[in-house]
Amino acid sequence: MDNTERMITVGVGDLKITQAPHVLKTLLGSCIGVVLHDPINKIGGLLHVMLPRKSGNDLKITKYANTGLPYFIYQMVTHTGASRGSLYAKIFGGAKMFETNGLFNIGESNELEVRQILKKEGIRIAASRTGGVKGYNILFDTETGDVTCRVFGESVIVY
Amino acid sequence: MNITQDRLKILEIMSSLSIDRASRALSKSLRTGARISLSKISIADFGETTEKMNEDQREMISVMVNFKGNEGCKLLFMLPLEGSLILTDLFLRQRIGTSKECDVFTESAIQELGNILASHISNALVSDFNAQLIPQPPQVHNDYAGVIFTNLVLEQGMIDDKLLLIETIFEISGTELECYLFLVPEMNSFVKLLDSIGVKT
Repeated sequence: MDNTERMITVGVGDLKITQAPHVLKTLLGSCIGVVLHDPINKIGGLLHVMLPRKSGNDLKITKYANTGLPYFIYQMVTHTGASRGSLYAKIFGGAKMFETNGLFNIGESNELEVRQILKKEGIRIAASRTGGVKGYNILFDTETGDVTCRVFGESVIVY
Repeated sequence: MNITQDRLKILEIMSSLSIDRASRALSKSLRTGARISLSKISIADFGETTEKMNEDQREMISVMVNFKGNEGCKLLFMLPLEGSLILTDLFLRQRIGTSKECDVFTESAIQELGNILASHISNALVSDFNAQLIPQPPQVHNDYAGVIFTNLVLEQGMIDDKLLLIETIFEISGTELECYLFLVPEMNSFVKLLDSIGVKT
């Protein structure tokens, strides 16, 4: 399997779960990218959270932290064979992409909601890089659990 | 989001006419051939479209214009940072290759391009179809292509899993500029506009 075949891109509000040797990648602005990794079974997933809370009935549940994140955990444990006890999370993104004049800051609200849900679900956040005003480019290696993150205009850091 | 194929076809004609007018105006400003042609108008899946755009991880400079009035719409033009230098040279009537780095001139050139595109597209829709579109000041951003595109469609994605997307092919003669130009009309207001001009099917 070459590098291109290993790469899986995740769209906004989408969820992808895979296993080693695949690498999940996405770009984030005000959205939050949540990765969950089971290092024993080398299973990992990436949820691209667009908004904190779902309000309508007809929209895709993975767009929202309050519906997407519990669904993500459920899928990891019941459908892919990941061990819940060994799961840990890493979170990225949540930039302030728009001038909000002190009103609803999507990035900040997304991050807050994600942190609260992970805490409630008892999943440890092993690393995070959030905030700022520029986009994030992340690559999540399901083999190692490493997330290679590059904030626009900055150098690459591995988390 | 429901729209018939007939209505999409009419929107395609309206978009082609307005884009064509913007294309001619831009050619005049740049004093070189700028050709913008309609590539596709579709009801696109939000997740699939953003996934495709997230494949493009190049660093881009962009201008986004919001239109207010009876018909809501957004316009996004973006191109790679190195391409913006060529555009700056064209606007400043300099030999291509003169601009070496992105600076206030680059930002102004991109902003001006946004103004030209937005004003001519809205003028065409206003004069030919009685639309009411008022372009707001252009906003310049530089970031990854996928992040910029997400900013364009985020609001639409908050209310629907589909979006009405107009994609174009943008070429400037004598250059190999790779540019994106998207229009995202607000669906409901454009359905009303089609009603008002007698497109009922």
